[in-house]
Amino acid sequence: MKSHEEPCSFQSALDRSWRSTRLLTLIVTGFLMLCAAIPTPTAAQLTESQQAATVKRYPLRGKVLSIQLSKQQITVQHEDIPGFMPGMTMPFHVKDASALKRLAPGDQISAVLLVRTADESYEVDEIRVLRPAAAGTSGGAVQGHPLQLGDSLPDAVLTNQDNKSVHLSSYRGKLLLVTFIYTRCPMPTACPMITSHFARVHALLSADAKLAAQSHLLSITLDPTYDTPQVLRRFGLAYLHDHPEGFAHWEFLRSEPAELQKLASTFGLEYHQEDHQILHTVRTLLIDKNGRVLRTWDGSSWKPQEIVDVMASAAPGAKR
Amino acid sequence: MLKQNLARICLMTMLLFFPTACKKQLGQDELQGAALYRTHCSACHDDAPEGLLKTPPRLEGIFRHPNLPDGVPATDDAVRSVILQGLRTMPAFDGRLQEQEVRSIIAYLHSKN
Repeated sequence: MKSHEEPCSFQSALDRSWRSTRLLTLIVTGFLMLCAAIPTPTAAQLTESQQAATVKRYPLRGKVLSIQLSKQQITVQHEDIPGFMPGMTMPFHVKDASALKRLAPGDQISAVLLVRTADESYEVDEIRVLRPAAAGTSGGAVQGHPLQLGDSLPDAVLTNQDNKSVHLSSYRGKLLLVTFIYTRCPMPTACPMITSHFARVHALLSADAKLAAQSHLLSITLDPTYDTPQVLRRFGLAYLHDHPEGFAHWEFLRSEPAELQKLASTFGLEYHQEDHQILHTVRTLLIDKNGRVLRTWDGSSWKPQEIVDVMASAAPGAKR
Repeated sequence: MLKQNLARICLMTMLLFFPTACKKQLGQDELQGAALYRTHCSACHDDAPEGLLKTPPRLEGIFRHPNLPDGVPATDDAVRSVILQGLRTMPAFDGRLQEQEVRSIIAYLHSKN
């Protein structure tokens, strides 16, 4: 009997052993998964000291092009940042707001770029001015003598999106709305917003035949080297919903590159060009039928209807 | 019974933490792409101000769909072309972004898939 029971006991023990091994494997696997999960908590789960450990520091050197106090940021034309990115011009948030008071456009600086790997954010800190900007400069910005209300618009020859020469004086007798843009502008509140506004002004004016006949819109590029007539035509068509007949009322113009500074100064534009990046102010002018400045709008916060109303009040026979 | 409960607990633990454990840390290329994306793309594609004629599309999962918003197949080359040449109201980044930078942005867009 005993000899018969032994194989059964052995089989039973083997079975128990196999089940224990399976359970152990399961426990070990679970433990390993738990360990693997621990090193990748979310940013919210990290303590402050743990977050500090995930901040990488990179040395940064470059020239301050502009300072945006409201956003607590500076735009810097920086050299290569080894191990992070090549040299370029870009805005940086400044960790210590008080550091902004010690900076001026044109300053050569060194700083530390802090890159937080948890949420991919970055900012600059420990800013030191290596060489202050030369007195009287503002990072190369063109200082203009802008047209004032009532001033006559001087003539200039420009080229439109169809590669045809146009004289500014040829628009006498029409209400002329003029602004400056460039097609590669990446700031949504600048050129894309102004051009979107112009598209709505164009649509509103076009809805009133008499007003449309007495008005004309011009968007002049600040980047005439890149913005050829072909580029301006493609850009314009996107905002004209692919209706080229719209160019008869809204043209996209370029000056010769050598003429741009004088033209921009005339219209009161300030701009700073570094390679392919153009930092500029935004200004829109309404010229009356006698070629005199009737009204100006700075920035892009104006409403299209507001400008259309002003134009309608200056256009006899218009509906408004 | 105790062993069965232990096994259940282990299984639950695995299921709970598996997605986190699989979460990929960004590589150097993707990290650079993330910085470039924040500088050049985010202002329009994530935080577009009201008033633009066309609201730019969000780019999460752009490679998950067979086509880009303009209808062309969603390939690296197509995205590279859009970034450099622009498309409709989107400005061209030709000259402002180097090839390596465009590749980094594309790598980051893949990581957002």
